[in-house]
Amino acid sequence: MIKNLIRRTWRELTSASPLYLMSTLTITLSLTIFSFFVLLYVNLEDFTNHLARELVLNVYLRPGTDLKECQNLVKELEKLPEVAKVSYINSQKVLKDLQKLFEDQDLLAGVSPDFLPPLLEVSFKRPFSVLYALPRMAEEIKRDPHVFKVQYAKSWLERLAGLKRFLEILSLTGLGLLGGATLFIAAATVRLVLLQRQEELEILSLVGATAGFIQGPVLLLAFIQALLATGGSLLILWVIHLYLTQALEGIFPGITVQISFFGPKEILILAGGVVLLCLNGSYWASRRFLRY
Amino acid sequence: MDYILRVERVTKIYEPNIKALDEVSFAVEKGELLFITGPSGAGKSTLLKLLFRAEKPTTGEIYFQDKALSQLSRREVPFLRRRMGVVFQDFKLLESRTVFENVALALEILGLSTGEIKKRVLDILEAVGLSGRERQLAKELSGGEKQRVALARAVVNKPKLLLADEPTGNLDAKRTEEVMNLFEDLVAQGTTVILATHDQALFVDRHQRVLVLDQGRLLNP
Ligand SMILES: Nc1ncnc2c1ncn2[C@@H]1O[C@H](COP(=O)(O)OP(=O)(O)OP(=O)(O)O)[C@@H](O)[C@H]1O
Ligand SMILES: [Mg+2]
Repeated sequence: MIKNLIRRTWRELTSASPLYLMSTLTITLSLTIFSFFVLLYVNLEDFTNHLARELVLNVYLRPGTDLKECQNLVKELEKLPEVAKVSYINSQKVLKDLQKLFEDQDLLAGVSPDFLPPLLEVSFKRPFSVLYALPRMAEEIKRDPHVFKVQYAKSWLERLAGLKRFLEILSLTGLGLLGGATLFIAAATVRLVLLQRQEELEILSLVGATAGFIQGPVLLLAFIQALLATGGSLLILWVIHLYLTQALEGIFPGITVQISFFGPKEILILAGGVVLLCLNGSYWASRRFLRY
Repeated sequence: MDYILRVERVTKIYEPNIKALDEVSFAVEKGELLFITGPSGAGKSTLLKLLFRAEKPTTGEIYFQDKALSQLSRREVPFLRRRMGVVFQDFKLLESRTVFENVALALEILGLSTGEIKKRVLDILEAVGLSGRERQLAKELSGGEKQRVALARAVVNKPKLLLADEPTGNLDAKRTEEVMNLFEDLVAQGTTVILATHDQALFVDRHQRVLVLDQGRLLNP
């Protein structure tokens, strides 16, 4: 039974191999373009999140605040659910940072670290979602008697959030279009292949073959094509990914751009989706040709 | 009477309004050789198509072995067709397959072993005069040869009922005689045969029942 199915599938595959090759390639290419844009979208998200994580709330303490009080404040802040990390930066370090910033050493020549406030850097787990809560948080933190000033780069973050939103809308629209096109191309290709076999399937059904007998090889072929197409497009994407990782290295100094690829879960979902699509398309297209 | 087939007041209208069959009723006994004749467009092929449920009647009912065909589900239709053999007017061969594969198809769908298939296919090809042509592709055959392949495929699984639509239309007198002898052998073995033809020579000297169709109506029920 299974042997028979495989034998008949093989016969069909070899008797029309150019047709199956071309159709598999067509599906592979449209799938590659689609997955490329999925990857692009995922990486844009990663990238903007990565940038935003640089966003910190700078909490300047009054000069002379002792270490014990500092630690208490750090604990308080870390209790807040949105906060990822609080780091303490002492006056010496603040001075060094300032020196780095101004480059011109003379400007800070007479400044002693004691005059500079120590600093707490508060970073957030999901920077974009706390964006609108920041003013309130800053206000609350400021009520602490040891706090001298609270500062954050609000306008910068807002612009980044705007950019992120813009890219999201753009790439999601594109993804929607491409997804639709990929669905259409895959379904149409599967149908065109079957159209070539319309007469054969009709004849088989007229001489008494069951639907299972006729559709078995059709579905098996669709399954194989779907797997080959997914595998092929992942391979192409992987090569592109390798190239991009190399090409984009060092484009943004100071930020390590990590281009992410699909994980096992995403690959499974993609393959499953393509298999389902091809099986479904083949099933319904071939069913129409059966004369029962 | 032991009827294998009963056709009761069957009308077939092709959309929008071509009345191919009009209130046709008749019955066929087991082991009978029945001719259906009439001019081109009379509805002969349509009638045969209704009998193996390639088409459904617009009204009326057909009983095969006392089972109403309209009651058959999609799943049951193939099993009905396996009890019938059909020689199509346009042959319906798989053009890019060999003669052997075309005939073997009727047995392959039954799940027979390769050995058994081979034996029976070669036997039937000999009976229709196509020995040695097994490996030839169907598309390379002449009209008469195709007709005999179609006939071989129709009878290779020993059907209870054979429906033949102009089975001698492309054959010369000698081949026609051979094919008619084959039909008579089958009838002698108990097969029921319904043969649609407009060639009167096929039945004038045979003392068999002949139904005459004209514009979808049966002239001699
Ligand atoms: N699928 C169809 N759709 C519409 N009309 C059809 C269809 N099949 C047959 N007809 C019409 O039904 C009528 C009967 O056709 P049918 O093929 O049964 O005739 P026939 O007796 O077999 O003729 P012939 O001797 O030429 O084979 C014709 O008028 C034909 O045009
Ligand atoms: Mg006809």
